[in-house]
Amino acid sequence: MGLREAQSAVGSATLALTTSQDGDTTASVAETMVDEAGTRMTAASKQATAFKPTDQRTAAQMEAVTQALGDADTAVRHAGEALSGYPGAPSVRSALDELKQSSSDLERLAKKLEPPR
Amino acid sequence: MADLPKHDSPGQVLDLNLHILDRQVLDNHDVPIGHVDNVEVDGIEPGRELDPDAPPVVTSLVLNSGLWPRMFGGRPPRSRMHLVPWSAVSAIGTAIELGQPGSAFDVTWSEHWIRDQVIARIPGGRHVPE
Amino acid sequence: MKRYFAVALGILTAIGGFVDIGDLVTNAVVGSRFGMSLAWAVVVGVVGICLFAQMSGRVAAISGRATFEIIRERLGPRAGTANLVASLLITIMTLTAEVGGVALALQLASGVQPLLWIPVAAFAVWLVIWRVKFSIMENVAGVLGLSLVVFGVALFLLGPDWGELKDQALQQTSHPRETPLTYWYYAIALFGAAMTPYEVFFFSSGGVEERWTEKDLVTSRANVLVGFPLGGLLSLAIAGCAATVLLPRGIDVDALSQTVLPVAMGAGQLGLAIVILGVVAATFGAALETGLSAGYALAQFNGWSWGKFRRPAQAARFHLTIIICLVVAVLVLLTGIDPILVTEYSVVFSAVALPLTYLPILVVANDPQYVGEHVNGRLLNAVSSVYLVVILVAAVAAIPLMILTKAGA
Repeated sequence: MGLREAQSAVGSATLALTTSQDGDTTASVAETMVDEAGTRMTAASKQATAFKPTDQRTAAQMEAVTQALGDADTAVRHAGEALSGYPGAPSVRSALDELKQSSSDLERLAKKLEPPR
Repeated sequence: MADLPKHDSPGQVLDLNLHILDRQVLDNHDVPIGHVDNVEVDGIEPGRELDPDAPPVVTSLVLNSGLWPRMFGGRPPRSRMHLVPWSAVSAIGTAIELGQPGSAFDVTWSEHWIRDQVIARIPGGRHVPE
Repeated sequence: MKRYFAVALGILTAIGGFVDIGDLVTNAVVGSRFGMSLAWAVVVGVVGICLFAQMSGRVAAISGRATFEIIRERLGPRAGTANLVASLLITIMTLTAEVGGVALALQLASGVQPLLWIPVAAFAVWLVIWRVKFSIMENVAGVLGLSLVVFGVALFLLGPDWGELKDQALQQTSHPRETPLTYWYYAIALFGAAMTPYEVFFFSSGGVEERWTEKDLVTSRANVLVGFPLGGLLSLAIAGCAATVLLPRGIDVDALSQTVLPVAMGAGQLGLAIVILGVVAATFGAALETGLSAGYALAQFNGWSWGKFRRPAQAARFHLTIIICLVVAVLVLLTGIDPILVTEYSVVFSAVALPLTYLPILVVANDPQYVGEHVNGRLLNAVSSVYLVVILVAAVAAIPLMILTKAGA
């Protein structure tokens, strides 16, 4: 349903931000990575909206997923803005916090939805 | 290859299918000019037994123009086939060598046409790579 | 002395030339999802390409006949034509992936959109094929590609838990996020990435280009038997970097930037610069090889005159074929398709097409008319036959697995 893709994209954006802050990577590589994570998030959201729930329970779950994906999408977009650093953009620190929050939300959700073995 | 029939005449014993068909053909400067798509054989008439005293003879090689009929049957008009007379063959090894330059055979027309119309007109087309 | 130099240079270019976009992407994807547990598939692929390249190199050196002349001769018109069509399609697909890879790597270096780099990259590839001598082309691309060794350096600098990596490789730890089907799908992808058919067309035609004779057999064998396994080690280092950095963070590789990021984390911006140089060289070199291979395949099948040792005007149809293939690759890429996706499909289809080229070479490597006294020995034939089975199984299983796993999703 796009959760895994979203987790991967958020992780990728986080790594891009931290490495660029540590000076390990160049701006062009970090920006490219965040861009790509953004594209991936769009694809993940599309996948989630294409999913048609059949009963009440899955409908409720879907709503939670869509919500989390939306938050992740925003977080990745903020990461891109933080990297470009134009006036009014969020700071790298706050973008990182947002990504971290989104990442743990996604993880919690993924655990909940995982079918019991 | 072990069960090729014994032959009295001197020279090489060749299996038409194995050694001639689909072989690379080179001109006298070792330039590839085509593949043997088919062969023309004289001395076979439908409905008549083969005469052991006058066996069929390969008269020409058909280069780069006989693949379609070989796969799907039929027979192209003779004017469309690129024939090389058997007499032009000078040696047969892992490739078939001809004793004349490639330009002597009409199978190379498309090479010449593309060379003259396209490749030679691009800068550097006539120079050896450095 | 000159001879040792030739051997050393050959080995170096074989290492640098071994890794192309297929290896870069597939190894990183697998490392990020399965850790080192598919390392065995790389080893199987490397042994396979050694066998295959060694046989076709020997045939080319002694008979002067390159792979596709032999395919035509041995398979006849029908099977031969089918083989040509399949091989050409896969080679053009690989060419597309390589040109796209050059563009992606240049994007990482410059920040400029890959769509703008695609025509530039393709034109540069054509220019080199058109004007640069074979040996110079081969050696420069190979030696620059060697800078990918920085993947190995970075892996050491990252200081991974070596025991953990070893356990992943040897004890097949489970992957909670993956199914057995995706595991086998990626095993085939790795196999196909290591044993890409174009490598064999290129290797054997290159032997003819450089006018190998019986005397060069030792050199060619050393290039293959030393160079390719070292190239395989490089592949494992790529997977190791991804397994160390990306696997624990739940990041699935789907872009070139993620492939090189672990190098930046291990070796800093200097390492990053070196690895981007290496990726450009490796993909550019492979684009040269695949472009030439498409020309070799079509020209050899039809018996046209071919080769870079001739002036372009003396191999007109060969050069026109290459130009057309490059144009096709550019047009495909300009639709905006993701080159990484093209790469992932191309390595799997490579595995599908492999038996088509492997079998004729195996037959001819046993034919004294072609290789004289240098026919396959008994041990080599035994190993080659085992590989024939492996290759057939992989080819048959690839498409069903692709459908069942939705291409590894």
